[in-house]
Amino acid sequence: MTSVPRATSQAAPRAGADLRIPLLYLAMAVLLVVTGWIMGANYALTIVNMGLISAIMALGVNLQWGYAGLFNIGVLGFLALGGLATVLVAMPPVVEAWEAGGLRVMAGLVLGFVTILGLVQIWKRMAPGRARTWSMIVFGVAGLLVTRWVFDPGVAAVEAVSPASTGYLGGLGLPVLLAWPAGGLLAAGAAWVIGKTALGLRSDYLAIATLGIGEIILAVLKNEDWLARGVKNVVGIPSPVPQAIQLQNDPDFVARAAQLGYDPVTASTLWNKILYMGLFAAVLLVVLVLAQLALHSPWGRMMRAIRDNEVAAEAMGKDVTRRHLQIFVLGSAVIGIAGAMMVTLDGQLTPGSYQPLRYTFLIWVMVIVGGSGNNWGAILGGFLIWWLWVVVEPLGRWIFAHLIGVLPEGSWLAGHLAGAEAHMRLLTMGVLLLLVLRFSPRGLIPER
Amino acid sequence: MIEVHDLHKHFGGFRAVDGASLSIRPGTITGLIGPNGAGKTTLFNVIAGRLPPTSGRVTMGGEDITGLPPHELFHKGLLRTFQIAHEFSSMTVRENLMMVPPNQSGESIWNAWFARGRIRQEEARLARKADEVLEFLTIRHLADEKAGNLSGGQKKLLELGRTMMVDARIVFLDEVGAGVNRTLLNTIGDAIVRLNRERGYTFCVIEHDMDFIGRLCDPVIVMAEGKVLAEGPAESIMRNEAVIEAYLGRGLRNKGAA
Repeated sequence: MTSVPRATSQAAPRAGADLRIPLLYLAMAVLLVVTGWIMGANYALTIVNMGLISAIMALGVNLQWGYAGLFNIGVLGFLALGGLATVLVAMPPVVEAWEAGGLRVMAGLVLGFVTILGLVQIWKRMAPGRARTWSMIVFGVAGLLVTRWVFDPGVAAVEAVSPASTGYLGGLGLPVLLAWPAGGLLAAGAAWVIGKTALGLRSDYLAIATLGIGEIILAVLKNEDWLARGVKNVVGIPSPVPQAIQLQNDPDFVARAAQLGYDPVTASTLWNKILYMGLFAAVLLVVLVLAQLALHSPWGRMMRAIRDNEVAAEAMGKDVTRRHLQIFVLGSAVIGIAGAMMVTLDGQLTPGSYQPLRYTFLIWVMVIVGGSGNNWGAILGGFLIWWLWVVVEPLGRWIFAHLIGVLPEGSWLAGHLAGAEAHMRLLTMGVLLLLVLRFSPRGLIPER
Repeated sequence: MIEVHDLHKHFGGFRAVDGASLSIRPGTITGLIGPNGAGKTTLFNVIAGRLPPTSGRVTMGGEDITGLPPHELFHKGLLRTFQIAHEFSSMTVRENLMMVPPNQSGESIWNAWFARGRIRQEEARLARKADEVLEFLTIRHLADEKAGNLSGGQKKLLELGRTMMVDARIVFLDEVGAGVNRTLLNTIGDAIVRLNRERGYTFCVIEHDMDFIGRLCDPVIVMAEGKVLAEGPAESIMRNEAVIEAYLGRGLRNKGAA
């Protein structure tokens, strides 16, 4: 026996495969630089920042789908929970609202939880049969009525506190950076509960279940005004880095900007975005390193084995249910962190803007185009798809404007083109997805 | 070792296993034969925890193991292979073997992050062991090949190899020779005999190749229509009137008589 091979040793890659990743990343960087050159550095930095967040989202989905084969299409629910965490952690508490009905609301939540625990205990302790069924119905209905009797007046009182500006309980008033791990924890907690009930389902049923649960989370967020103002949105979430306005009022900063030959407005906007970029890049790096370490370890090997063949993995002593739950929770936590980061960047939580197309489907496109089962692919997909999503509209408008300019005045085609502008985004995404699936079905950077 | 008491497995009105009782003695290579649809694989699946029984009991070494999930049975030393090979197709042959041993410290994600040194040592040991197993099965040269690229017979060898990565007490082999050429089948047969003699594995083998059964197995259990029809040494089974009727067919007896 010669040298001992590494755990993750693999068949020699095709010549050129080693160069594929750096080349694709280089091309992505060139795209971003060219965008900055044409549209301005501010525009490009905006894309980069959201690209970094998208890359983290894609890593989360890739963890679940690429490495464990779990079909989660409730991504937006976990993103929204991360966003909710930002409000709950970083916004100042609304003292008046707490005085008006905060305790009642909390008591209501506890009662609801106790009702559920009670139902579980009845289910476990009583023998199956009519007596158990009736006990559960009676206890459940009674619990619900008592809960609502306590909860509803509290909610009404809280929401009545200057509804135009607050009308909710507010948050803990803690530093906003704490919201990122908190967002991960909140999403992980939800994933644990969901996973306990839904992970027994086969892949396509799991997809439907997560789709529904994502919508339920969003519906709660939109309708429970006492929690985060629902569709009235929470704005003015504190920023972890100095805002542009703050920088402009800082004489030191203005002086240094002047030294470098920038006017204060440009310099402050850019610096604010660069600081965000540093934070986001650091999070991405940490998530990537942790994911890579885990996946190139016996843990990752076990996960791939489970993905390849659940039945055989179970026969080889691996607890498939437990492992599925574990990676579902981990992936959701990553998505939750990204959700919290996004709301921090925007400075506001707007539940009405969470569309499945943008926050579930688009993330999936990132993973599929980038290459599922490969973290480098997921990150590239995150950047590339986000870049396209942003750039395609102005680009389409520009191309169409030129075409229309060439066409004779009032021609049928010109009118048609002018109307088609708005659909460029979806068209491009569809065409790109088709092209990738046709010519590189395993994505731009395949698993191996 | 394994005792099966009056086991039933019904699918709706269809009685796949219909009151089977049998025992597999420790240290034997027990053959399980019978016509297609006799309930052999269903019996395997119930014993190995894939399917819950409709009624009946399975014990191992006196301990009731009825309805335990496969991964728990694995930890008790009950392993199996599949009728249709269940390889981990995107992983290399070596990785297929290395994933088997239980309680690897690297299976904890925490250790995967913070105990890299310990994992590296363990991995080196596992890789050595995997290569020994591959040597034993004469497929050492395939170690870095993706398991999905192997031939059907090689996959069967790989499945047998997986059971060798741990100290199994009993191994259930479901049609280990299906679709395997004669040379490879002999390799598999030799491996089974060696594992039985050298490492004390007990085997229960479903197989249709009567030469293979006759060479390896003692005793042989015959199933038909979900029940045990006969049990005994291979030679007497092949002469058993009821077995010939149900499974072997008249041709064999006529040939024997001629």
